Amino acid sequence: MRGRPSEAGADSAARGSATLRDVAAVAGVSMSTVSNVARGRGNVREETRARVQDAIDELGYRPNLAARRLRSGRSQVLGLALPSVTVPYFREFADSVLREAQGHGMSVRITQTHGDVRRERGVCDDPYLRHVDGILLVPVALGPADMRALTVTKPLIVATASFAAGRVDSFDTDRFEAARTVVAHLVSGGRRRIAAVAPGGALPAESDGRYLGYVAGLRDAGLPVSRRRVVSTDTVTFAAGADAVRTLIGRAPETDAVFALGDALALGALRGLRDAGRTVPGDVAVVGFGNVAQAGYCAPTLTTVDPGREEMAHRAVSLLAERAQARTTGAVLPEPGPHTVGFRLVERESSGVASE
Amino acid sequence: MPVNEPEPSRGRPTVVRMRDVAAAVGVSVKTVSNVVNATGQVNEATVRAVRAAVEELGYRPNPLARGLNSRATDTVTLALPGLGYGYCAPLAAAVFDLAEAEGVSVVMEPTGGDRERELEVLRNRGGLSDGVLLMPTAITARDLGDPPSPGPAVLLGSRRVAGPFDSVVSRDTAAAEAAVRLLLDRGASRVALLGGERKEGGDSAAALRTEGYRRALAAAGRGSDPWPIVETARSSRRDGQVAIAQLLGGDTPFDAVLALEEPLAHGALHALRRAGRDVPGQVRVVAFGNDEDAEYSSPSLTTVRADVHTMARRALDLLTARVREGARPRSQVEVPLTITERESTFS
Repeated sequence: MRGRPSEAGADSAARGSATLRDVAAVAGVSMSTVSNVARGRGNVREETRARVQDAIDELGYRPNLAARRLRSGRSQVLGLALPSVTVPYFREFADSVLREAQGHGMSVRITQTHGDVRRERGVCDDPYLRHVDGILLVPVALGPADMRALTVTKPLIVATASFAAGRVDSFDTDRFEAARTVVAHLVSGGRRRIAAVAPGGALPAESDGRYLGYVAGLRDAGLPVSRRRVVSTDTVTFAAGADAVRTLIGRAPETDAVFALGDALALGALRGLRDAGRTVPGDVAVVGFGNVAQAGYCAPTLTTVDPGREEMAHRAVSLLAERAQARTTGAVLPEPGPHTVGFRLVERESSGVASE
Repeated sequence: MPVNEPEPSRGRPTVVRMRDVAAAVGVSVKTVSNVVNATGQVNEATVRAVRAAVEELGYRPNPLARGLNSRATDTVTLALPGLGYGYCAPLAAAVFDLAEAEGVSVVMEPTGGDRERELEVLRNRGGLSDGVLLMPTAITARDLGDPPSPGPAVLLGSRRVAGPFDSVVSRDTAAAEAAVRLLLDRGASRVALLGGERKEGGDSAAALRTEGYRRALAAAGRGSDPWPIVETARSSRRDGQVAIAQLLGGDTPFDAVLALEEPLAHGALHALRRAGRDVPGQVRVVAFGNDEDAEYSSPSLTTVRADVHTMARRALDLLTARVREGARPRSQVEVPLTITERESTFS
């Protein structure tokens, strides 16, 4: 027996936005019965179930997804905390994360930390990442002590950093090896006075595996490590790279290669060297880190390390989705830990042949 | 004032509350709240009756209330195609920073330029956020034609879509025209449009910008000697490089390039460098873009940049107003783009 759709129901149907109440009215049952049928739960007689389903179909009722998400805890929101979406490497990473998240039917709550260590430390309690089921953090300011002290109250994955702590999953490439490979490449090209431009602000350069790899690479080649040829920057920006090169030329004019730990720094360095009248690669070779899209199109094109950014985004989002899901289903997953992504050195014009 | 004058009447007008509106219409306070806050499901006739009563009684939401909707989430949804399109990344950055300065967090719903997803975002906003900022790349006026008391939303971007929403749009046609005029002022005589749309009458960002280019061409008296409009499948650097390399390999002369998206321009610069063409000496280049890449390329790139900060500011203000006072006249705000000249047009 079917009731005639109420006026409200008819309007709702016309709008395609029928409510639980409308369906209940049409089917002549309680709202909780409708809810049970819609979710395939509860003890509902077959005849009643059919009647309710008819009403659902007729009215075009679609359960309020968001309300369901919040109630059942099966929210499909991923929190992404990264320094900025305008720095090319992070923008490209965020774009990959968004696409991967979309593939999993997740929306993404993004917040820019601007490299503030307090925000990175407190990411699980971040007010701008409310109601997310898992967080993907791209840290630039966390030191080893911070990492150990991190409060982890929801699924947390760290990308582009290595965590030995073991309470979180982390995805990173072997930074040490990658840097060592860069130095070996420069040495094989005849460079001997290799400088490094290292971001990290307050953190000592040694907390970055890439810096340690740079040092190891120099030692492998029997070359001295000169602190004069290491310039620290606060941020990973073009301007910081250009400034660093100016500083470098001032205090270490004998430099014949620059390894910039970030493509934005390297692109800024290219410009800075040009403005200072140094040719690349003739006078000075330049290598970056990140393999952003611009690296293949700048002048000269930039040799850089591809740290597997796309693979990292893909695997990190998949794992986060799994961990978030497991929270509600109670599925058992492997313990969190570090995951390695492969790197490759992409050789382009900027580390080519030296002049003379 | 003379001492013996009577005091002016201190009668305070009676404050109209939500329950007064409810009583006048004969519905529950919750229903009035749903209409005023543009939340929940209320039938069309009731919405009209409530709005009429609101106007008639002079009901005004209390501006000091943080949000009349007790379910206020202090969240806005930002629905853009992605972060790699046009000025989406700097626009998103501006929205994040401005919203967070007011304690509002941002949920990104990447639409990928898909019509269904754009519609879903506009429809399906119950619970997760207070309002939506949408860049409409695929939906049309017809999709928005029959609004069932839509939730608060503001459209933003290049494309103008007629509908029951506030919008903040960039003035792309005028900007493209100005860019071509700049190129002509810098000595160009045949401007290739990279990433343009040959078919007239479209409403995408590319079509609007192409229209500006055509106007400049006509104004310069070149209607009968049309310049090359080069279409590209996408707007990547590679697309730009391949397109310009092809143009160089053919017999179509050009001495300037207006690239409608910045990555296309970087590809073009690369192709020109490889072909031994001097920029700006032999070929001048201008690009629509906001990125820092432009400042640090060699040569540095003259850009036509959207004022994303103003767009984000105005969109958030309109959205906040819409969330607070459901019934108000619709606004369309136009925001100009500005040209920053660098080495690629001037040595």
